[in-house]
Order: sequence, then C-alpha cells, then structure tokens
Amino acid sequence: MKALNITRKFLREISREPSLLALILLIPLAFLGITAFAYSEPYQKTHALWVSIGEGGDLGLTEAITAAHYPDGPSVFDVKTVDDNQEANTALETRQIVAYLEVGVDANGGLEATVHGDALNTRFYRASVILDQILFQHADRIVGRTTPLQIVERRYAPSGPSSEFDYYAPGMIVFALLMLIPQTAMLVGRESRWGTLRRLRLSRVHSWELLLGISLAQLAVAVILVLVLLLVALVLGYQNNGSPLLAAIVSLAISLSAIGIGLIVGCFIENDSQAVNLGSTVTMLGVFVSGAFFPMTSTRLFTFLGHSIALFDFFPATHGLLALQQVLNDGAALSDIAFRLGATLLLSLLYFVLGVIFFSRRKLRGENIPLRYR
Amino acid sequence: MSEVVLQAEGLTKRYGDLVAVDGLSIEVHRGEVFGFLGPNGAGKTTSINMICGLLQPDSGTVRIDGDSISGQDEAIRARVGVCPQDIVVWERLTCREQLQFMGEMYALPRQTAIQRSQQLLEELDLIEKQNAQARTLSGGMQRRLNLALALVHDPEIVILDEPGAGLDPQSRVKVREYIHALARSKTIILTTHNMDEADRLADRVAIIDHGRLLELDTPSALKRRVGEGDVVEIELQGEIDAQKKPSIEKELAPIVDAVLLDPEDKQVTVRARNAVAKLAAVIEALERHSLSVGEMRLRENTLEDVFIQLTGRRLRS
Repeated sequence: MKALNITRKFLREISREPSLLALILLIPLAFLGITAFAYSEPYQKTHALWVSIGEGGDLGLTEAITAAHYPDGPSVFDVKTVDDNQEANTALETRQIVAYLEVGVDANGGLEATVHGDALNTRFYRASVILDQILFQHADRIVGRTTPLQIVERRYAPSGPSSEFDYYAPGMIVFALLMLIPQTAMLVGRESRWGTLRRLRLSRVHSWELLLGISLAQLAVAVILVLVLLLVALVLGYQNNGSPLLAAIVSLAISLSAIGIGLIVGCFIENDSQAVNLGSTVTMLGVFVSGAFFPMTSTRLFTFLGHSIALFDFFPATHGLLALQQVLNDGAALSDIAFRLGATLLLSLLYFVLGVIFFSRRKLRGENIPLRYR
Repeated sequence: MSEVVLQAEGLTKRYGDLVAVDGLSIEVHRGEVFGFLGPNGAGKTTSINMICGLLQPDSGTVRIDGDSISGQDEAIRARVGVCPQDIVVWERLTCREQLQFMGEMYALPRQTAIQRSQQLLEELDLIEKQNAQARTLSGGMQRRLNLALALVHDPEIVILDEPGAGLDPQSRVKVREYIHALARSKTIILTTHNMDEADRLADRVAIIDHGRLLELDTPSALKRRVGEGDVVEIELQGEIDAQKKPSIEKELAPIVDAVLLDPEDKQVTVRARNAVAKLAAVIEALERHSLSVGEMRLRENTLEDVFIQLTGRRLRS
C-alpha cells in the first residue's frame, strides 16, 4: 500500500513537470517524426537502374533484369537503357539512380558486365546483391546450365516491415524506454538531495517499498510512452502487424533494466543537469549497443540454446529490440519471442537488482546521510 | 515531569578520525522541552540522527520507554517525529498532498491522515495555501510545512533541529508560540545554537561541544552556576595587546567576579554584583593599560555566558 502511495506521488510530480515530460516524450517523438520523414519509402523498393548495352548486344540480360519482381509483386528494378556514360555517371553522383550497368559481349562470345555504384549509398549494396543474383542466373541460362544452388528464402514472419520506417519505429520505442534512465536518476537524485529520502526513511518506509513505488511509477510511464509512440507511429504511417499487449510486455521488461541503470546513475549525480547529461549518455550508449538506431554486429562469444550470443547481447535492450521488431513488424506470437523475451526479462532483472543493491547501499544507509544533515 | 521517556547512554559516532559524538548520555523527561545547545559542528544533529534511529551509533543505546530504538519495532520508532534543520518538502506536491502522503507513510488510516492534515494546516496557518505547491510558498511557510510534516503522525516525542533557523521574525514568533503550545502535550527535543531560543523554550538545556556533554540543567540553574550579578560588555577603541592580557586580567580580578578579554572582538566582558558601581574602577584599570573605552552594555547572565565559562569561547563562533 505504501509503495502504491509512493507511485502516486511520483506520477503526480512527473505530471507537474513539463521539462521531465519533454525529456522523456518529446525527444523520442521528435526522433520518430524524423525517421518517418526520412525513411518512409517502401522497404522493397524498386531501384532505378540504367543499362548501357554494347555493340554485341546483351544476350537478353536487360529483359531478365526488367522481369525480376519481389515476391509481393513490385519490380525490383526500374530499367532504362542509355548510351551516354557521362550522363549515367552524373545520375549516379546525384543519386538519381542506384546503379549503372554496362553490358557487352567479349571476343569469345561471353557476356561481360560492369556494375557502377556509389559506395556511400547503402541502397546500392541492397540493389547490387539482387543484381548479382540475376546476372549469375542469366549466365547459367545462356550456357544451358541448371543453377547448382537454388535459394529458397523463407522469411521468419509472413509480413515484415514494408518500409524502412517500419524497421526503425520499434527502435524509437526502445530509445524512449531507455530515456527512463535519466528520468529515474533525476527523480531519485532529487529525493536524496532534497532530504526527502531521509524523511521517508524516518517514516519507516522499507527500502523495498520505496524502490517498488519508484519502479511502478516508471513502469506506468513506460506503458504510456509505448502507447503514445505506437499511436503516433501509426499516424505517421507505421504498419503494425503485432499485438500491442505483447509489445507492452516486452517494453516493460526493457524498462526494468532502464530503471535499474537509472538508480545506479542516480547515485553519482549532484543535480538535475548531471542526471540529464550522464543519464542521456548512458541512454545513447544503450541505444547504439541495442541496435535501436542501426543494426549492430559484434563478435560471437558462444552459443546458448541454439542462439548465438555476442558481447552486446548482455544488454537487455538488444534482445528487447529484436523481440519488439518481431512482434510489431512480423506479428510474432509469444512463443516466437520466448527466448528473446526471456533473455530481456532475465537480464533486466539482473540490472534492476544491481541498481537496487547499489542505490540501497549508497543512499539508504544511515552512514550515507549527506554531510549537511550530520 | 520526572518520568524518563527517552534515554541515551554512551552514544558515540565517528566519521573517520572525527569524533562527532563522544559518549553522550542524557535522559529526557516526559512532557519537557529539552534543549541541545552548542555551536555549529558540536554534534547536535548527529546526536539527533542517532536518537531518532536514522543513524546507527558506533556504540551506545537509545531507549524510548525502555525499548531500544534500534530494534525492528516500527511502533517504537513512529513515536518520534523529526523536523530537520533544512526545509525538506516535495516541491511539486501541494501542502495538503504531502501531509496526507506522509501520514500514509506513517501507516495512518487514510481518513485519519486527512483529518490530521486539515488540523495541522489550520494550526500552522497554512490552510489558505493548502492547494499550493510547496515551491510556490514563502520561506517561512515552507518552514511551517516542514514542521507540520514532522507532526502529521502525532508523535509523542518531537525533535526539532534548529527550528528558528532561516525564519523571518514573524514566522519565528509563530513557530515559537506553536512549540509552546505543543509542549503542553508532547515531549520536545530541540537543537539550537541560538541561546535566546534555548533560554525561552527549554525546560532543561544540554550544552554540548566537540560531541561531548558539558553541562545539563535548567537554564536558570546553568546561569546561576556562572555566578550572581550582571554582565557588562565594554567595547574598546583600541586593540588589546595579547601580551598585556594576563596583567589586565590580574588587575581587574579584585574588582569584578569574572573577566573575559576578547582581543579579536576588541571587547572586555566583566561580571559583578552591583556592576554599575564598579564600572568606574574597571574603566580606570583599562585606561592604565592605554585602552580607551567606547560603548558599554549592561545585561543579565545568558546561556552564552555559561558556554563561554565552559569553553572559553563564544557560542556563535
């Protein structure tokens, strides 16, 4: 009961402080908006490709490229035949096209193809992979050889992201949840600095009641965050394929770690600015490590229950993000994300317990009363 | 009045090499106002923190009605209410919200917490600001709210740590009157470095310095211990030569009962019966040492004189 009273107190305080709400809600919303604006193109994009055909012809290659389609129907390449190399290079530089293909026939009658692309354009890499595949298949057809390898792509989930925004939106939710780190640090830091923590201790509130109260308040904020962000994402064109309830469960698991880390950060700060600065730094590290902004790879350390475990997998949000993406983008069910959710929960609990122990030792012991109260 | 409600025995607390409280033993009687008088850093607040159970002593015990406060019995601990020296409030909660919140933290039934909050808001003249967030209150109002928060669970023993600190004269009078009223039904322990506050409010005063109890008695008994007579403070126009200090003291000794020469304050303080009649002789003696006399003040003995006699220095230093 005392814990619930503490929760209500924190929620009142948070709701009355616009700067706190801005910190935790407006910044992730701004990122979400920017992402929606910048990455709203379809995920299976039709790539602009110019083809220059030499005097010997192209042995039907351009036709094969034009015929390539994504499983859902759209063409992979929007092909245009050109003669002017200079014009094609300019189009590449200005990113009017993704790739430029020069095709010819060599002295032996073999097909010769040169692919030009912009190494700094990530879309070129995606297009060139598909183009290579088409080129090799076409070459095999010319010589009458059956391709010895037939790749059948079976996607993990039937739906998947339909735009890059769909891919990044769950990452923005993780980002928002990790913003609970500076907020938690700020709230507990104030309780310690203002002496109200001491007042609460005098009232015989148990440490666990206090920390449970703070955590419940932050978890309530997390649920509101997820709902607001998901709603705004839907308005911005996000196509949700999963269960919001399951997404909320994953989000709560991620939040628990953020609260634990926030408690630790709260032990090292002396004012609100430090809470924001140090807390946000930790948040940004977490965001990058988890892959919320960009997919991250790190060296595999070992395999556990059939899952490859890398260094960044010790951060709960890494698993949480994958689980969120699978739920929201791919419509995964609880059984599909059991491992990821379990890992998120387990690691989050570990971080939370560490935070509780650290905070209790540093701030809830009599010997740690600030000097001015001695 | 003689029944002991709180007993501290041999309380000691060290912070590294610093001995903040050194073997403090006191007994507080039910219904009295017990004052802790001492300069800043004397160990008053550390003593209070140990007495209310917030700080574990390195050695010693605190008992309320014979039960140790370091035990796990919350009911014993809840019999104490502490008003800290600093203003300790939640800035973004209203006066009423934080009183009710603290009431509930002390496990009061919700309805009782509401009633107690209402009562305290009225008694401490905060009712008009009941729905104002604490950050919008004046310093004096925040102090009164600070006091109300210590009383919300209706404790039997109220500890007030420097209750007059930072108060404007109007609020100081209000708080003083409230403490007087409170003393009718509760045992009060107050710490202060303000001798006037201790003199006016306390039934008994413990004078502590460097963590040690120097004296413990009623203010009038303590003042009597310093000696009979009035005190005259004589400001000098020139500085006292430190080397001449012993000879000046020797010369004044037969004239007055006690002398304090303070070269830093450029002041001589003497105490004597019928002090006014002896002033001429005192001034002559000072002038023989080339010391010109400026302003003079005549007053009764205070607790500061007691402190000076005990420690050889002023309380406010």
